[in-house]
Amino acid sequence: MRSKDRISYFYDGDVGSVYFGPNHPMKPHRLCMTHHLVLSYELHKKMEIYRPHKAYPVELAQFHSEDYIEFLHRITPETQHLFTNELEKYNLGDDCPVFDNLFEFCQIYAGGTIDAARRLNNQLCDIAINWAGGLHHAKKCGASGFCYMNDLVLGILELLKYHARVLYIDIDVHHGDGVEEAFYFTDRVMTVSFHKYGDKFFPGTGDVKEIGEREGKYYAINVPLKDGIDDSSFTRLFKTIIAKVVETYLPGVIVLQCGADSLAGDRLGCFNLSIDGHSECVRFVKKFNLPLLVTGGGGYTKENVARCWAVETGALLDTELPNEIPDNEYIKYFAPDYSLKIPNGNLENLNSKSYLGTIKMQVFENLRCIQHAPSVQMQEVPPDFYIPDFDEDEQNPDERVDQHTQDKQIQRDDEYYEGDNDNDQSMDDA
Amino acid sequence: MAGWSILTDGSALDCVEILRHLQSNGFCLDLDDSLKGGADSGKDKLQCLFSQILSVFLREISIGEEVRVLPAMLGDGRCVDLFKLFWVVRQKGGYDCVSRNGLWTSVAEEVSLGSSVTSSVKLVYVKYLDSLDRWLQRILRDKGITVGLSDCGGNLSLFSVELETEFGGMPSQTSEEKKKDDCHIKLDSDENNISLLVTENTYNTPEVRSVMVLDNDNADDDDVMILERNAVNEETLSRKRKRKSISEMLNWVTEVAKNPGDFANEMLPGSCSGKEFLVQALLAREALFLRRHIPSTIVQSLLQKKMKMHPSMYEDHIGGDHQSTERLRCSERISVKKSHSLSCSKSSSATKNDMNIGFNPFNKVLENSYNNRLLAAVDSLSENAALGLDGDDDFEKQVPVGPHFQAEVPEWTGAVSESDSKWLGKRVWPLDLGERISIIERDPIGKGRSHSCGCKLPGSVECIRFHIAEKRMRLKLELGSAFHHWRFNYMGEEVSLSWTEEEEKRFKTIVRLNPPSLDKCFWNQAFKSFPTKKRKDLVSYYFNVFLLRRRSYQNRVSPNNIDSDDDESEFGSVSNGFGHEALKVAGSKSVFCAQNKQCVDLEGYTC
Repeated sequence: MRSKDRISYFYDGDVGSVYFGPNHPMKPHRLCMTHHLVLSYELHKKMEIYRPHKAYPVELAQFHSEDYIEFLHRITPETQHLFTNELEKYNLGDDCPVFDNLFEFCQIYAGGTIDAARRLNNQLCDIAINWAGGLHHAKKCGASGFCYMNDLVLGILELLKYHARVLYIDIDVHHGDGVEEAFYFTDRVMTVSFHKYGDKFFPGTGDVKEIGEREGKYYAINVPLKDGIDDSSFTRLFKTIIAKVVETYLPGVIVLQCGADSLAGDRLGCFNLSIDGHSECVRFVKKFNLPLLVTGGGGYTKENVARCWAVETGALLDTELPNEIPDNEYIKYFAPDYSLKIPNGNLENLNSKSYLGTIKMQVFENLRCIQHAPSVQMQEVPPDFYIPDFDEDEQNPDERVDQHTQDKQIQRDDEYYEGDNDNDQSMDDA
Repeated sequence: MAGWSILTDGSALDCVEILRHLQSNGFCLDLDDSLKGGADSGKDKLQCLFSQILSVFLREISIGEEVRVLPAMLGDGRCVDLFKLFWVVRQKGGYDCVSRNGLWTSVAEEVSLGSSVTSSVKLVYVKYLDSLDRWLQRILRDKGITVGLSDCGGNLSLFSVELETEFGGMPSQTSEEKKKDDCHIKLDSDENNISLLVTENTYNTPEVRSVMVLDNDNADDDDVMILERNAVNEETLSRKRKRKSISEMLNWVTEVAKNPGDFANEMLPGSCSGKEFLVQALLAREALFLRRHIPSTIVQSLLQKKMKMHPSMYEDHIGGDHQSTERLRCSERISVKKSHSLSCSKSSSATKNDMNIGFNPFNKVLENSYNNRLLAAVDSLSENAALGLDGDDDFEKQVPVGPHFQAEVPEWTGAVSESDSKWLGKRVWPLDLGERISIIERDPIGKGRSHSCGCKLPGSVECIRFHIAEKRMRLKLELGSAFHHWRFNYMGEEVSLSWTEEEEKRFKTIVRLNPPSLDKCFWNQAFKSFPTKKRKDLVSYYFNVFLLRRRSYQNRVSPNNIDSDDDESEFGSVSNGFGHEALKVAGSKSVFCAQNKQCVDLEGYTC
């Protein structure tokens, strides 16, 4: 029924050709593999594929400090020994090495997310995908956790030009600290992050008690989880919370970070999600029928990342992918089964029912505060009207907003978040 | 410092892994059992202990130098039993004595290597064992006089008892010395474990990169501990990469300390995670002391002798080595903290408390059963918490706020602001042919792999190669210019076509000779050796050809152990590019093919 969704997919052939260094878990080559897999499933036939522009330093400076951008632009592996102080200042070196074409790499993935946001703003598409983006740890004045430029923040800032409220959802196994931090003081962006917390797991933030400050108080939601969470508990918790969040916050657009390190068997992650469980979250978010910006993120077992994001591309296209991977150049990476299934991690789920229940209650309690906050005039949703100055030959240019609003009203009648005893596991979206 | 370097060194986890292995074999209920290990408890265990100590010790002293490879081998390929060699020389009065009296020939004979390799044996001793021996001697000198043996009697581990019995015939001096040493280890271990937690919790200013030299006014001796809080901190918070070994367990211990009640619950039958952690904690403690006692005592003796030596001096041999930055940083930290420790009464008092706690469980351990040990551990840990050392809340990372952290979000005015519509990305697909998407859309998408084909031998090398090529051609025709935009022409093993065989061999050699574990970067080497190729080409070759081939090797030879994200794993020779050779496995011919079920299927993917 929603096959009319217009999908814009961003890919640059150069993005996979950078190398973080030996034994660095981040391998941009996974983006090539993803793209290749997407094409071997012929998904390109249903979407538009764009080559993003390389974000200009001035665009990056919408969020990042100019000195940091300038430094990143200038530094090369050959000259880095001359700048030890700066390297330390900007947290470059260990987790975030300086490599060849680093800046170009940042420009590409940041440009992709910015372009995606702009296309959404201009209503040129309903869903925009940039698997190269989603580097959610990067800070205003420094790198962190393999992330240099925070494309998500830049994309959200772009979306804020057209939308009163942006909802950011993060299912990377790591806390989306960079995005949360950037929008810690504002109620115009609500950040929701599901992540592993505790055991000094990177980055160390993301306790349920972090809820934002000043105007942004209650507009940062953290769902800290323990090791080994499985599909059923994760998707149930995800759906319950996100449904409530969307109902309460009424965002104009959703940004979804799909870090694939929450999958079972990831080199750095410790969750036990299957690709089905992971992509179920994507399907669920898509059902809100809001403009949607989907990015990648973590993911350190290359072939699983490719599998996951190909499946999720399919999900966004309402296409179920058959299990057997079609022949392609990288088929060997998918041995021995050559299928989309990934082995279960056989991890014990350390998240007890009562623990998850407590977390959920705390989140809900914070959400309730929003409804009573007088400063947020939820009812006065400014319309998302946009009058394009070029020819309007796109399908169904108007009515979108109203459609969304209607959908929200309808969805709100659903009953899958009716408190604790709700064990309805599947979201039956009519 | 030392602990840090050891902890981060992946291979240093060997000890823990050995212990874990034992644990999995059912020795998890009793720690001592786990070290006794199996049927042959006596000499084997000692030998194991000795080699653990030795390997850690060697690693410590050899930083920056060529690492001493274990096991030690002679030129003719025979292994030297270092354990035996050590004791034989010890029995004969040590290195100096043996050399003076020309006893090396008999030493060589006694370690059953024969007199013909006398000089080699001596060399091995000098390279591997001499410094360990000297270190032990120094311990003896420093401690032997002031501390009576009886002081440590209660703390004697089973090892030293074993040692005593095993080498009962040895000069008593030697066994005493070893005993002394073991006792020392034990002390360190307990204190290490507990104060590690303290460190983590109490000192939580992230900026301070410090080594804590904790000065313990112990009843027996002046133990000086080095703990690097930075190690804990950096390892866990500022680094994203997985360091799963100890931090999880440590955290568990901290949790238990905070909520002893929960701990009791966890120990109820039916829940095994708690037990696992406990066992892991105990094992880790055991393993930690093996590693940590050495560096701490080295520094200790330096301090005791009031040597005014800058730490970097004894690391001089590092020279211009690439590891030196890390090491030097460590050295700085030491020097800073040395003075700090003297003035910091807080740290020492905290540790004193800790030491007492640390000792109680240990004494109990010796006399009581497993359960009591648990209780003791819980006691000490909860006491630890009660002492106000529980700094976990402070340790929590706060979200930094201020103009340097938050984005500037404009107020929502209700009107859209301008968005640059010029930069929206360049459409690559669908191609601009005047046709609209609808035509393409009619094709069904998302087809999987077809199971049947018209090939003569479905599943054969030729068949699968044909299908991949077919698919590629179709894609190329269909994609047109997009094919090049997406660099599909640089995808897959075809990349190797632009490389000569000689170049490919050279690349492989470079990778093999520069494993990241030795902190060498094959990358720089490769770039130097291929001046004509761009870095992009090298990356492309690495991922499209090199890794793919390694992967297909793994697929066939070790299908249960596949990891193409590991930059290090060695792989044999797989069939060469587009050739159609049989699989070659170093040393074992191609028997795998016949046995491997997947082989038929995989054969096709070799090229």
